[in-house]
Amino acid sequence: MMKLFKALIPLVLFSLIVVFLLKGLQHDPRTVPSTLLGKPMPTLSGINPTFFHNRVTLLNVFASWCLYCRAEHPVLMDIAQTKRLYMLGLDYKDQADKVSVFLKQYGNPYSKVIADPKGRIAISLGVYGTPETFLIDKKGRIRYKHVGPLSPDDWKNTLQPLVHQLIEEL
Amino acid sequence: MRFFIIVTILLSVFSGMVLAKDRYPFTSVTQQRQFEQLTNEMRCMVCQNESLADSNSGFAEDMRSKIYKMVKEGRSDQQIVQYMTKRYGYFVSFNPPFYRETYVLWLAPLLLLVIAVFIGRSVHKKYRGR
Repeated sequence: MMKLFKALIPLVLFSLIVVFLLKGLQHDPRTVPSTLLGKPMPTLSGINPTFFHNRVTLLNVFASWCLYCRAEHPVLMDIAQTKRLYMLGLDYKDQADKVSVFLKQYGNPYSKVIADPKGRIAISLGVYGTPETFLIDKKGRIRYKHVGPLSPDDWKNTLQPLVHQLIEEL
Repeated sequence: MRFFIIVTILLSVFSGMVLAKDRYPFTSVTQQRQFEQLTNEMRCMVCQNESLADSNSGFAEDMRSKIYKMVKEGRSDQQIVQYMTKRYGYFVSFNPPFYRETYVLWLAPLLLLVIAVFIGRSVHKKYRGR
């Protein structure tokens, strides 16, 4: 009996390793949980903190050179159509003439676009790539962060319910 | 010939370091050291296992210039690390503090060592008699 038990030890260890390695494969090393969740928006150069007060803001970090942003653009256009959110665009490491062509060609979902040519504002937000999307509540706190392009399903299943909740909040 | 090759290799390696120094000039040696230490201790978030000092990515460049700015402003190591971990989490640091989220990371090697010693001893015991 003891012998059988001992013989099984390597097998158990091996399956444990397999389980962890499999988990590692499914884990996307680029998604890192935001530590800013629930915290107030960091002070951004050129934006007054009261800017975010009394409205729910969707902050989208994008760039005209970013292909994934082009992919999620129709989703942002749809979101803008609902007119329930203040859509703020952060134009990451881009050129003014290129982004205006981009927004003319694909449509402009943003109420306002802030240029961040050197990526400084992005760093103060903990952004490390495009696109990233934040939801900011009426008190100016970051409530959600999405890394990577928004799919219609992301919007329908995750962001939209949260937006409804944030709008209801006082 | 061999000497020539070695010198060429060394020059190409060190030229990068000289360039980095030119980009981020310091008047104080302490600040220079602080900057070098901080950029070596922090992870480039978009690369796999590369420090900010080693990476050539645009993101690492931005982070370096942010750290440079803060060092020049006379902020302490702790303040700068705190600024970065507040935004990017403990993942950004190659030397994370011992904390609720990180204790597994710190204790795992010790645990593995204990297990290894245990296994080694039992194997040793088994074969000593022969």
